[in-house]
Amino acid sequence: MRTVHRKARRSVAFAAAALIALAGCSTGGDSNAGGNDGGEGLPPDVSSAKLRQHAIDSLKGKTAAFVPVGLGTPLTEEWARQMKRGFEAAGMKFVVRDPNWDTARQAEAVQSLINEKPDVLVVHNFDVQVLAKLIQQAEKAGIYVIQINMVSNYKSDAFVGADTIELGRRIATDIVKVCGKGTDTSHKVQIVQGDATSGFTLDVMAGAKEVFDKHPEIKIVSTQAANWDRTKAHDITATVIQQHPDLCASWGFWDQMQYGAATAIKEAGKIDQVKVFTSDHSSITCEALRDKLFYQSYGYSVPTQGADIVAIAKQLLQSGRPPGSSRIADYTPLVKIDRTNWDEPNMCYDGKTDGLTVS
Amino acid sequence: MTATVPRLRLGSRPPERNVPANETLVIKLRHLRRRIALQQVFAELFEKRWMEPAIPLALLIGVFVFFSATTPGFASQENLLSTSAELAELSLVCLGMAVVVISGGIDLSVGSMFGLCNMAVILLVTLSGLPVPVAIALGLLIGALLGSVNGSIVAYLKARPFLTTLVTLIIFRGVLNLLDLNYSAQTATVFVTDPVWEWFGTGKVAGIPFSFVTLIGVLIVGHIVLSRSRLGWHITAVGASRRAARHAGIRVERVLLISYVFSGLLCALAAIFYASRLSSASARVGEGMELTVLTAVILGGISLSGGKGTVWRAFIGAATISLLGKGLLLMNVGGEVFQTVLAAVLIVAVGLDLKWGKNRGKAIQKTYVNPTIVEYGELQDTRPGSGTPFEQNDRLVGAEAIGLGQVEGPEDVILDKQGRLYCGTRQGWILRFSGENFEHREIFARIGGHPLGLAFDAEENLVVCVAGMGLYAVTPQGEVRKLTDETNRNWLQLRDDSRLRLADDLDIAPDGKIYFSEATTRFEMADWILDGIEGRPNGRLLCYDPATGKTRTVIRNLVFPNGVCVSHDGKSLLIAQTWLCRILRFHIDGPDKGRLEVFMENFPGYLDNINRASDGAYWVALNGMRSPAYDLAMRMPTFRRRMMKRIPRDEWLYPSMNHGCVVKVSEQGEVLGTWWDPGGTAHATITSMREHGGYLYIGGLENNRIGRIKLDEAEPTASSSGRAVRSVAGSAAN
Repeated sequence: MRTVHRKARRSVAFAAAALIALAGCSTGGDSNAGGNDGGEGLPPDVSSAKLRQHAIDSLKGKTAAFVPVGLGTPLTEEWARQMKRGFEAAGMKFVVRDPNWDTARQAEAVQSLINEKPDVLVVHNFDVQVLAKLIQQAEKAGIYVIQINMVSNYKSDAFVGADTIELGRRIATDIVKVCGKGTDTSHKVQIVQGDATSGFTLDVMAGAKEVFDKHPEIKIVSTQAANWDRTKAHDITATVIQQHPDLCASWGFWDQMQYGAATAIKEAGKIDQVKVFTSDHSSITCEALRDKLFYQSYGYSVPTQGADIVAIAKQLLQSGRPPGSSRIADYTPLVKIDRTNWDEPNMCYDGKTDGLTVS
Repeated sequence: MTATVPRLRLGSRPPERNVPANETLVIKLRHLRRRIALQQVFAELFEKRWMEPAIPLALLIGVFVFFSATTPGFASQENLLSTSAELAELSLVCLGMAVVVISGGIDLSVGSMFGLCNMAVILLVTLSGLPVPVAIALGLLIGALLGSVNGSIVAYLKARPFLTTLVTLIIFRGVLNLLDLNYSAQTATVFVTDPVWEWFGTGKVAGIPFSFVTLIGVLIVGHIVLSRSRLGWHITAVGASRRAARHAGIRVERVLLISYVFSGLLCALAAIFYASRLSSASARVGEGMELTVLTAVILGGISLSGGKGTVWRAFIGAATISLLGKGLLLMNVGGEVFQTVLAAVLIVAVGLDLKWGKNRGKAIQKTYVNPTIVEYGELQDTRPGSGTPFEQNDRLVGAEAIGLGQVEGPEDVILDKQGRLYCGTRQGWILRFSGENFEHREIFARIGGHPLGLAFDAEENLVVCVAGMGLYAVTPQGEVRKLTDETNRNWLQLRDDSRLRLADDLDIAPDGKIYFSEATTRFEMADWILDGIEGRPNGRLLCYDPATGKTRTVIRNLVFPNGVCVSHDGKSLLIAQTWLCRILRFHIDGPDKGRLEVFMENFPGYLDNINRASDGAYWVALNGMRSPAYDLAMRMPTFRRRMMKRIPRDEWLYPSMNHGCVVKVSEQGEVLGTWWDPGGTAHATITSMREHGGYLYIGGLENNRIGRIKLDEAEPTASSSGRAVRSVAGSAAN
């Protein structure tokens, strides 16, 4: 039920945003009226039939393409699933290109999509640089580009994802709460990053730095990049836990990856002492919380991110604005999940089912 | 004054086959059909060196065609151009790997070197503040250094390449991770706008990405270095056999070091393009690349055991993988499927390539010989008492044996003015027998090959047709000089026939021009008999002009032209054709110049050499006799093909070569007499005879002696060893 509510609320918000955008544009004159048969051209008293026709015409037969860093994880599968559902319901075509965690192949995939010219391109940036030039090219080629969760140096029409800086702040704050001054701990914290040049890593680190700078008692004993890889996270953590048996917290930037770190800590027999922090809320998070591997995680409404992208794409396509002329950021709500609330409905997702409840 | 080489007159040529008296249209059409030999085209195509990578190339074309047909947007110009930029990077790394593999090693660290160079160049460009060209040069240097680390360990510490590069893979990756952790976040926010950097990343030459243009340059240079330079040969030699290379004086260590440095350098070059294109300073770059590269190199058909491969093969492999990946990506196939498809393609391609490499020779062998119809006229009876001109007699019985057991395979024999006897041998020597009874044997010259036809020119030089080598001359002092070993190529066929393969017999015209036959351009000396099974016009008549030093093909497409002899009047050539059992007359002078006609046909045996007799007649050697069974087989090409396919070679039906005779024919084409050795105990296969001083000297391709009989009717002073009548005048005119 909650999701529905939230969805409804967001839809209203978007409608409002769209209206504001329309209003803003119409006062800006009809500079691009000749191009797209822009929504701004529709008067407020347009008939419902005409509005409907305009919406349908703007979407029908259009193509949306999605390039994640790699399919096969609940995160990317869930996005793809939601987008497929949303785009196809709107009469659009939806294609996915899977680079399978290969930077160069992701660039290739985007490059070939630019050649094919879909109408909307959704990218999940490997790092802040790799697609920067290509996103620019895509927008020049007349493609709306929406970035998801991991941002690029080049900001495109829209960004949908967690407010990663805020996420960093919140988790850091939580860590300070359990490991900081006044706690009977070593204050030692391990950080397991994703790719060091990933937008997600950079932003979360920026948020974390703000907090930790104010709390000098927190000792970051290790900051290493496990590149979103569970095995790597496991191996790094297994070493760190040996060097620092009194570790207070281990913070990994993604649940799929951090599960490896948690396993290493459990293997070392320290899972009760070391608090494992992470973010994202795929079913592994709920299971790990249930099994007392994770201490807490932050969900960022992954299922609705997919739906949001569809909504923003619809808005962009109907707006009549040329690609590259908007800069929208849609930060999805952050929900803390811990050992007390993991079993509530819709806390976690698995990339396959709606309304998943882990028990 | 030098007369021009006679050209074959158009329309003056008899059909290159035996024409039966009452030939019907059906038979004519049958012949026509048999003349077309697609199989032969295939066999000759397969024989080409450049057909070796046929399977990889076919696969590449197959991949391209498949995706062009099934995937929209694949064959578009934009896609191919953007693919070419990515392909260039992969190809450069593959090229480096290929060099190392050809040198007998393996470089597993290419992925790490690529990643490390990428990182290093990005750090240099973004953080160091160095000018971009300097940063790029430093990047290349770093690549070369990394390669030299591999190279020194492998070459000088004698470590195994597999283990060494596996270790450096980990070490380089470790350094990369370290750099990634400490610096890459700082590079992430730096935008480089240097024009040189931009040019490397997105520059285009005539619409083609700069990286691809560079790749083409590197490929061409690499090809020249690998196939034409000393270094390239050394690399190949070391890869083929390190020990042999060392014994040959090659500095193996240095060659190995250089090949690894090449690999590092090319990785760095590829990384520079990658870095400038994507600016992605990630530790992930190049991860698992060694497998892709190795797959590409193997797919291209570069042997992992070393010593074999070209830059083009590396490129073909890289292009196949690159296009395959791109096509699958465009087909929206998941990444894990790509790995599986890659593995499947690799297995299939490597399997096929192995089979191809293994069986190509066999396939050529199976399809190379392409029998056609050879018709013969009615076979004359040669039995004693038959009363025919070819009736067997015993005139060769009791022939003196010269050099018995001292000579192997004297195909032709000749005597000089002092009466010394010369012959070629299977060892490639020219032997000379002198003394009253030719008891003194000496090796006059060592040429090589298998010397066949012999003739003396005006300056007493011995001109020799050497099978496998060409036309040679030996001075009276025994010095060997090559006259020619090539002629103009026939561009209408795949097989390069410019080299002389089986120069057979020669004679020298009055004007000094040397006419010689090349029996077949399709078979080597060892396989000359296969030409008989085939029965196609594979031979030719050539003319070497000593005045110009040029060789020209006078008549091509002759069925095994063997003996060549200038007629007594010096105006025509007699050409004996072994498998057609006939003699042609080719007019080289006079009103009929350029005309080719049949002089005599339907001999009961296979003809070999032909020489002038002292009395105005000609001597003809029959090296074997026809038989009804084999005549029938020659009429049935499908039978012969089946025979070659189904039964081992030593059980094939061959033309009979174990009993022949000498025939004397007149200028008018009548048979004047025959000389037989019944049972063939001393002279089984007679390939030549030479009349000199009242004696007839007899040579045989497989014989262990030279025979000599006294001729009753010959004038004792005359010699058939000399040149045709007008020779003196001719040479004076020269």
